This record gives sequence, structure tokens and C-alpha cells, in this order.
Amino acid sequence: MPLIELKNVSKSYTDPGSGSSVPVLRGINLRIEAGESVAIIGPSGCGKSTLLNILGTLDEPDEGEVLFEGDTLRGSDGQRLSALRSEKIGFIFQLHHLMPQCTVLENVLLPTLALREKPEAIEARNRAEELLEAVGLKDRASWKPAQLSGGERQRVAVVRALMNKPRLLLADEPTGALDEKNADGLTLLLLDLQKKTGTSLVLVTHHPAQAAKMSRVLKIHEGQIE
Amino acid sequence: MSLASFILQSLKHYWKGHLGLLLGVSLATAILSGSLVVGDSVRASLKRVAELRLGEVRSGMIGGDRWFTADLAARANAVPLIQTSGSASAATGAARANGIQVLGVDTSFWSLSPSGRAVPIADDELAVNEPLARKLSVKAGDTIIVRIEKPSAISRDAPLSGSTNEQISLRRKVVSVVSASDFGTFHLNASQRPPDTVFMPLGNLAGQLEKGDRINVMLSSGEPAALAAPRPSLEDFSLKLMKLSSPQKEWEISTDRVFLDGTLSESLLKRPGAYGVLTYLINGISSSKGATPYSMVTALDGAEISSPITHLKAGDSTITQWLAEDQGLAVGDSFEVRYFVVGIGRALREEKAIFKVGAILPMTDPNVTRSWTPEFPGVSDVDNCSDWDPGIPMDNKAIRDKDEKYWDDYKGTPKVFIGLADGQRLWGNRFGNDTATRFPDAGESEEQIRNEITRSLSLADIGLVPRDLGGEAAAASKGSVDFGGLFIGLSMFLIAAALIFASLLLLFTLERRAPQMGLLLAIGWTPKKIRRAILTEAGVVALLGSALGLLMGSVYTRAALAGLGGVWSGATPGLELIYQSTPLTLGIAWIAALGVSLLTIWQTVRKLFKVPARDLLGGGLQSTTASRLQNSSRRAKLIAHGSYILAVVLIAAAAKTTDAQALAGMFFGAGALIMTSGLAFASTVMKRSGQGQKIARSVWQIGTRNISRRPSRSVAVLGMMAGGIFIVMAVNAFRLGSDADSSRRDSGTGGFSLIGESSLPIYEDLNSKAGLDAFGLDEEILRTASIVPFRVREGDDASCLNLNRAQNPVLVGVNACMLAEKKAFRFVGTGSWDQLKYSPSTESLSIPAIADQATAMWGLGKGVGDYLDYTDGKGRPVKVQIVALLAGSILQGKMIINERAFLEKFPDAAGYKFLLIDSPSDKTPELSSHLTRQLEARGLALESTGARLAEFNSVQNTYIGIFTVLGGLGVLLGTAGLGVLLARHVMERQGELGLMQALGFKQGALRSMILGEHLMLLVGGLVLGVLSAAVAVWPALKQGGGDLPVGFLAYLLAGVLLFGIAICATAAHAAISGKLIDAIRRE
Repeated sequence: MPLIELKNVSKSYTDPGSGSSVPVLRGINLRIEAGESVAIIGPSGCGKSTLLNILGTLDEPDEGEVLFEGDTLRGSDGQRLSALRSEKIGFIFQLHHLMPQCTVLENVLLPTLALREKPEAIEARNRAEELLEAVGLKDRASWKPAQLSGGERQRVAVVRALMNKPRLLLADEPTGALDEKNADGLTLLLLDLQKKTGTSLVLVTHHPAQAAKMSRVLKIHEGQIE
Repeated sequence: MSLASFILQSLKHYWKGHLGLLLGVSLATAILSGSLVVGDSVRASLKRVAELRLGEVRSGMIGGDRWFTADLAARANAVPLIQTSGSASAATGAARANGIQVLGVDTSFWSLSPSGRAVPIADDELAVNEPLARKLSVKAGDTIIVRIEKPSAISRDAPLSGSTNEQISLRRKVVSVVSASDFGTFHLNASQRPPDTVFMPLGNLAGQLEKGDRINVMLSSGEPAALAAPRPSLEDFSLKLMKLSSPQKEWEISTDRVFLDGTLSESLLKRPGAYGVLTYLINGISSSKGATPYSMVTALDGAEISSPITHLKAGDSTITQWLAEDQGLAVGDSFEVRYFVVGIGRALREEKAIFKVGAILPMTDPNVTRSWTPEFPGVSDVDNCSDWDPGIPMDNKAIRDKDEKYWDDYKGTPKVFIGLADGQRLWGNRFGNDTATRFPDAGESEEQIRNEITRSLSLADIGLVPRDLGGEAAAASKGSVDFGGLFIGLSMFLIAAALIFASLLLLFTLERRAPQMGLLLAIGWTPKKIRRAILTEAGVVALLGSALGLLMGSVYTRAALAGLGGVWSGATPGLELIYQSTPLTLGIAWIAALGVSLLTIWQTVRKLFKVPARDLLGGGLQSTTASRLQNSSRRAKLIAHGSYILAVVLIAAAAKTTDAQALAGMFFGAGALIMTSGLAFASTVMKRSGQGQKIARSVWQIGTRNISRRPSRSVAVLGMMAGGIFIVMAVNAFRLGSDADSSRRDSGTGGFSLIGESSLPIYEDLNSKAGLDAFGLDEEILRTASIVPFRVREGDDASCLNLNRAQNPVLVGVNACMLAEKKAFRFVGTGSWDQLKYSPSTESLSIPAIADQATAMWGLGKGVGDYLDYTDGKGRPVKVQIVALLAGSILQGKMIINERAFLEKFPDAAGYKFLLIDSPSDKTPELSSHLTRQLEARGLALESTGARLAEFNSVQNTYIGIFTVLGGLGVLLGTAGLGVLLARHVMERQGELGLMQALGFKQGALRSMILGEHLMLLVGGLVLGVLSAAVAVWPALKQGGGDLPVGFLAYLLAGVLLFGIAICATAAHAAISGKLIDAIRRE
């Protein structure tokens, strides 16, 4: 059974100028297995992020069906989707979106507040520190995001995404705002953590080299997977 | 990490952003709590006034024209008092005060004062209160002249009550000026304005008034019931008991008041064998054989007594030998009696009746005795007939020597006896139908009889009822105008502006954090949890802000009280304001302000959760789908057209309206609709901006496009500016002007030119010859004048000038036909003076009354159909029903009833004390000075009706003035919001501004662009506000706009414009002064 499966998923938006419907995704079928790493590539506006948002339950398809661990998400209410995201999906965005008011450690712990069953505080803290240690930021735990470099912030965002031990990690151009060195380092880190944790990784990227490091590469063109 | 620590961290991190919310909530709380505390302060001030005016007094019995013994007060442990009215003038004649309160007090009176300090006054001295001292410019040691009317035992309106104008002038030295805490503001009516008062020693005043040990008020610091506890004596009922031995052994009860009160007669006649006696002074007896002037005639039935003078049939009489001889009358002859009947306004009407001689009694007959005749004032106590002054015109030439001889020999011995039914038919009146009651003497002692009679009577039968003065005062001050609510209403726009300001600033803070919220949604936080976090964070700020606001509220209250004590004193006439706040009020204000603030926060935050997470992550808070934009644009267009059409319809309908207030309301509505239409139109234009537009070719055009980027934000600012200007200006359309043509009958003056109020009653009808003669009025000057007199039952002023809730509103009686004929005043809706018609059929139900609309609504909290409870002159409850309302008139504060009903219920309230005078405007000054001079003795004060109306109108106008100033402050706050908006815009657009700088645009050009686009909003808001307000105030402008505070409004507009320009320029300068290019580098 795939971890997540898209069946005939279509999505379109309305053109603000003409008011006509503009298709973004057309009849996408996709299966992502547990522990798999998948890269999604394609030109700007081809629907990569839309696909990722649908995978992450941040968006709903107009047509088709999404199944997570074999269960359909159709008709799910906000509560169920929130719970799903908090327990099983981790997000990494192009911008780190760290809370400036919170320390690095607090930012990492933030997803635990969304869990229905809260972990023990010590347990959560230990896990956060382990993850931070794994990305080389344990000594920055009490720092505020503003005191970190761009690469460090994005690594904190990665750790935050992994905090609740998600089954699926979704990364939307996570290295887009980083220089080459930092970008390479973050990609390797992601893959390393993905392998260690057995999480499935879906990475949206413009860089073929980065995509090539994933176990599977999907190219989207005119709303369809080629 | 917990939700609480997350909220705390957020609070610490974004504290600068929250300052705006803190400030806005503080302001709103300050205004709200400040307003409520204004209410507390006014209530406390009124309570203080009540405490000062009543001191320790809790109950009292107020007799007015009913005098009772000081002994009754002593037995009730009450303080005796004489309360009457008069006028006072400085010895130099330089100043005069009418309608003053004259009090006769003893030392016990001062023990009830707030301070308990005695004010010693010797018999040849008097004390005055501070208001009178100020008015007359006198101090201790100076001399003043006090004029008071010598009270009659009976109403001066009663027949044979003696001379009407018995005045006493007292020239006395002022021993001290009594301060408010020493009882200087003592009075018994619920009003914040103390009357001018003279204090005299009780015994001395009683002596001057020839009242002996009688008083007309007793006061107590105890319960009202205690005043009714001691059994009254016959003297307390003004009754006299006499044991008679001739013509038979019997007891007679008569009264100082000539006529026995009907309720007392009724009770007395229940005694076994009791019968009524009515003796009257007639003008003359004539027959074909001769004529006899001025004689007494006694009517009686005699109950169980059989004699030639009892049980006479209708038309039969028994005459004395003296009369028979005088005219040569024999049994069987007829004769005519002529007598005066006193009509309304002491109009004397001579009437006649024919009687037949049934028997002739010798002068030695025991029935021929002077004991039948009561003591008629001005008659019984004089030696010669020619000196009689019975209160009716006397023809002294008609009095012959033999008549004087008769007076010398027989005094008031009646010459004719008739049946009681005949007598009562001819001479019965509203004061009574008997002059005495007699009953057999069965050998009881006088004390026994006294006890039996007093046990069977109640002081309430003659209207002497203990009153809960403390309770009435508390109810009056509690039920007063709610200044707390009023000030909240007047400050509403300022509160709204503060909350909008807070909401705007909160929104800006939250907008910056939109991606954070997107992220939290993405990582699985539920919208509910995020909402809770945000609301708690903002709630904590609101909590702190509202606490801070409570402190600031004290400043607001003090400023408002200073205003009410100064420029806005028209709203609280005569009230010295003290600051007072209660923990309860502060608690209510805090909770209310916090609640409103949280509601505002919730409204502000609500829309954040309608935006999808993906949009939030992108930093957007607006859903930008084309269909939504289209729908919204279509909706705005519909509102624009719909509002415009409705406005036109309303204006067209207003053209057919004659009611000034309705007209103002319709134009106000039309103005509001035009503003709504304008805002909706602006929204449509902004939402369409960019679609099919030409390419922007200047920085200005780009700036204009920027306004359309966030249409709802721009429309909100436009609306705040336009709405503020509109409300502040348009509310002024409701200012009440002194009527352009006060001679119009349907105006607030009723077309009358003068209003007159006299200290002492005027008994005569000033339109009649008798009235002119009584006061030596010039017939020529009064030829073109007509006077409508009102009888007055004193009570609480229920006009808007009295801040207390009137408990016993002044009741006035008028001949409604006089007003109906003149078609005076305008009624609210349907109504006419004919509704005051009073007939026996309506008697049992209630008395119809007409009141001024403001009096009924605000002064009494009543409307058409509602009832007011009064106690009539006989102590019985009377219901007065409001049947119609007058629109904004000079008759504010009074309940107007039919004179017939008035006289029936309050026979003792003699004469007229309120006059409306009709006169051509060119003759008015001469008439005014003539009447003032000729009726000086009555203390007549005349005022132009226009001035009186303006005084009443000044209260509503002051409220509008307060609203205008507070609303103006709100508009300025809104203008400050525009500056904040500008700063926010610049912050959001730093990247694009940096890019423009990188492209070579100079800072000055960018500043102009930013300034220009916001000034467009400012000017747009101002123009829209002024245009819509112009529609609203059009009726007022059409009438010359004299009552519009044009100067203030012009200053306000200029102030808003200049303040707006300054604040936008400052914000633009501050925002553009940094290196914008750095922003693009960062990006």
C-alpha cells in the first residue's frame, strides 16, 4: 500500500483578468511509497507547488482523489486534516518561516503543540536537541532566528519538519533562498535524515542535479506528469 | 514550550506592534469609563444637592394654604415651619428678586441642616441665602425689603374671602448670609436650582401674618408615618367648636375658612341630629314695597328640630320683624334677593332669586341671633357697615343709617331664613356647601365632643398627608437624566474611532504575521488553536489597555465635568458638579470596554482565518479570486445605485413634510445614503482599477493605482473620514433654533409674545374690567393685548432644565378654549386643546392632560396614554392622563389640564401665577413695562417667549455642541489613523519603493507619490463627508443656517485637513528617509 496516492487529480484556478478557468493539474495519478524520495521538477507555473499543496492537504483537488495510507481524504474536515498534518506530514518551505519571537529550540518544538496527544516535555525537548545536534545546531538552541545565518535558519526549518516524526516530508524549493554550498549541504542533510528516519520525501526543485539525488524524479509539464 | 509560553513570547516580541492596540483600547476604555463616571458624578452632584436641600429631613407635611397648629408638630416631634412666597428688593431699590421663598423658622429647624449649625435671627432681622444675597448684592448688615401676601384663612377665589391684595412689606436688616451647608439651599421641590430664600423667626413671621401659633409645614428626620401618629386637634382642621344655648342647646362646628370643607361636613353630619347651616352675605333684598341692602341670609334644614326657621320648603322663607318692618312685608309677600356668585378668575356675577314670606319672627325670638353667621373676613371684625371689605364691590351709598343701626344692634344677625337646599343651590361652591354644622347638646363635655370629632376626621381629608421627602429626593436624583448614557452616546463616535484605530493597527500587526499563521496551519495547528492564541495575545493587550484606560478615564471625566461646568453649562443648569466614581461603575466600564475591544479584535482577526494556508504563507490576507472580486464589485455597484435612488426618494418625500424634526431626520437619512452611495461607488472604481486602464505615465498615476491595491482598506479610511465629517456636521441639523417667526401660532411660542410668572397669585382676570381696575391698568395699552392665565399647583419642574426626575410635576389649569381659539402651539401628530375637555362623565376615570413632548419623554419618561398620580386638595388620589403632546414649546415642565378640573381637584390653589400674553410686537415693550410696573406688588416677572424657548432649546443644543466637539476629536483620531495607514503602506512596499529608487526615482518624488495617494483619500473623505452633510443640513441652511455652528465646523474641516496633511507628510518623511534600496538588497 502506498503511503500517499493521487488518483486522477485535477486542479484549476480562475484567471483574475478574464474570469475563465485555467487548469493547473490535469488528471494526475501518483503513488508515493513509504521511505521513497521523489523529486518534482518542471518550469515555473507548471503546478509543482499546487501538487505539493495537495499532497500536504493544504489544498483540495477539484477532481480526483487523494488517499493517505489507503484512506481517502475526500470530505475530510479541517480537524482531521490538521491532525494528519501534525502527525504525519512535515513541511519545509523556500522561506524558513521561523517564528522570530521564539528561540531555535522553541521553533523546533512548535509542531508538538499541534499534536492531539502531547509528548512529555522532557522527551520532546530531548528529541528536539538530538535533531538539532544532528544538523549541527545544538549550540544555537537558545538563539533567536534573527541571530542565525540563512543556511542555519533553513536547517532549523528541516528539524522543525521532522520533529513529530512525520511519514511524509514535503519540501517546496527548500534551497531556493540559499547559496550553492548551503543548498548542497541542506539537500544531503535532508536525504540523510530521510534515510535515517525512513520518512518519504517529496522535493520540489528547479535544479536537476538536486533532483537527481532523489530515488525518483517526476517532471510536470502542462499539468501532467511526464 | 506551551501555548501559554508561545503567546507570552509573541507578546514580548511584538510589543511595539501592539502599542497601537493598547493605545486604541485605552482610549476607548477611557472614554467609556469617563462617560459613565460623568453619570456617577452628575448623580452624586444631584444627591449632594438633595442632601443640602433637605439635610436631615426625611418626611414632612406640607400644608400650603392649609394651616395647622405648631402643637401638632411638637406632638409629632417635628420641626414647625412657615413656608410662603414673596419678593425681595435691596433697600436701595437697585435689585429685585421675584418668586422668593420666605421661611419662618425656629432653632429646631437648623438642627436638621447638613451642618447642624444654628443661624440666630432676632425678631427685627432676617437671613438670606447665598443666591438671593448675590442677586440683591447684599451682605450681612445690609437692609432689604421683603413683600409677602397675608394669607387668607380661605382661598382668595372663594366668595366673601375678603380683600385680594393684602400685602405685608417688611424692612429688615440681613443678619447673615446662609451657606448651602447651613440650609441655604433648603427647599422641598426636586430641582438642582435652589430658590432665593429669606429666613425669618417663626414666631415673628406668624405674628406678621396674623397666624398665631399656626404653621403650614412640619418636617421630621423620622418616618412619614410618625407625622400622622398624634391625633390632630380641631384647630388643625381650622374648625371651631362652640356650645350654644339659644335657640336651643346644641353644639356648633364652624371654620376659620368660612366654608366647611365638603369632606368634613360629610363626616360631621353623620352625628345624630346634626344639620347643616349656610349663611351668605347678599347684595340686597327688594320687594315691591322697598329695598334693604347688604344682609345676611341663613339657610338650614334643622334636622330633628322643629321651628319656624327649619324645614322650609323650596322658595319659602322666614324673615325677621326688622326686615318686615323695613319693607312692610307681610306673610305671603314675595321678595327678591340679589347676590354675587364668584366665577373663574373672581369674575363676579350678580344673580337673583325670589322667595315668599312664610313667617315673620320677632327680634326677640331666640332664633334671631347672630350666632348663625360665621366670621366673614373684612365684615365681622369691623364696626361700621361702610367699612366692610368682603372682597366684593360695595355700594356704600346704598347703606342707610338704619342699616348702620342694625349692624350696631344686631351685627351679622340674618334677616332671612331659607331652606338649606335652596341656600346650597344658590351659594354652594367648590370650597364648601355649609358654613357650620350643628348637633344636639346631650350634656357631653367639650373635651368629649372634641375627642369624638377628631377621632372621626382625618387630616388626609383636607389634603394634609405626610410625604416621604427623603424617598422622593432619592427617586428624583436616581431617576435623573442619565448623563453616563448620554455621554456615551455623545462620545460614541470618539469611541468608535478609537476602536477602529485599534483594529487597524492590530490588523497591520497581524498582516505582518500572516505567513506565521500559514506555517502553523501547515504544521497541523487547527484554525481554532491559532485563533485562540491570537485572541489571547490580543486579549492580554486589551486587558492591559483597558486597565490603563480606566486611569485615563479619570482625566476624561474631569475634562467633561469642566466642560459641563463651563462652556456646556447649558446641559446642567445651576448644578455644581463634583467628581465621583464608584468601583461598580469602573468595573462595568472595564468589562464593557474589554468586551467591546475583544469583539473588535475578534472581528479583525476573523477574516484572517478565511484565508487559505497557502495564501497566508505567501503573506497575503486577501482572497483575490476573480469571481470574488467580480461579485464584490457588483455588490458595491448595487449599493451605490440603490443608496442614491433611496436618497433621491427620501428628499422628494421630505419636500412634502412640514414637521421640522421629521424634515431634519429625512434629510439626515438622505445624507447618510448619499455617503454610502459615494463609498460604494469609490469601492467599485477601486475594484475595477487596473482592468482596461491606460498605462500609468506618471508617478502620481502609479500612486493613484496604489489606492486600489487594497480597496477595502482604502474604503475603510475614506469611510472613517467621510463618516466622521458627516456625523459631526449633520447632527447639527437637529439644533433647535429660536423660531424665525415666533409670532406664528404653530411655533414653540404659541404665537405669544410674553410669558409672565408672578410670586403672588393674581386673582382677577386681567382681560376684564375688574382686572384692569384692580391693578390700575391702562385700558389703551391693554386694548390690543390678550392674556391667557394659568392656575398653578406648585410641584417639581419637569422641564429639561431640571436634571432630577420630577416626582410631582407642576400642574397647571387653563381655559383650553382660549388656546384652542388661538390655535396656539403645535401638537405632535394629532392632538388638540379640545382633548382637555373635562366633564363629570370623565371625572371618575382620569383628568386629561397635555404636556410638552420633551417634558413627557425626558422629564417624566411618559408618553400619550400614560398616567401620572397626584393627590388632590382633599388628600384623594387623582390620575392624570397624558392625551396629547406639544412639540418643542415654552410650556415645558408643566402638565396642562382643564381649569374646571383643576378647580375641582385643587380648590385651594387660588389665582393665577402663570400668564401667556398675546400682543402685537410693536406694542410688546410698552405692555411689558406697564404690566411689570402695575403688578409689581404681585411680583410679576415678564420675559419674552423667544428667550424662554431659547433657554429650553439650549439644553438640546448644548448636547449637540458636546457631540460636535467629541465627534470632532474622533475625526482627528481618524486622521491620525490615516498617518498610521501611510506608514504601514510604506513598510509593506519598501521593496518596490527601493526598486523605484534603484531605477533612479528621487526620494522627494517617492515622498510626493506616497503623500499624494494618501492626500487623495483624505480630501476624498472630506469632500464626500461635506457633500453628504450638506444634504443633511440643507433644511437648516435654507433657513439661514443661523443655528449651525458654521465657524466651528469650518475650523474643524480646516483642522482635519491641516492635521491630515501634517500627519501624512510626517509619516511619509519618516518612512522614506531611510535607505529604501537596502530593502531590495535584502530581498
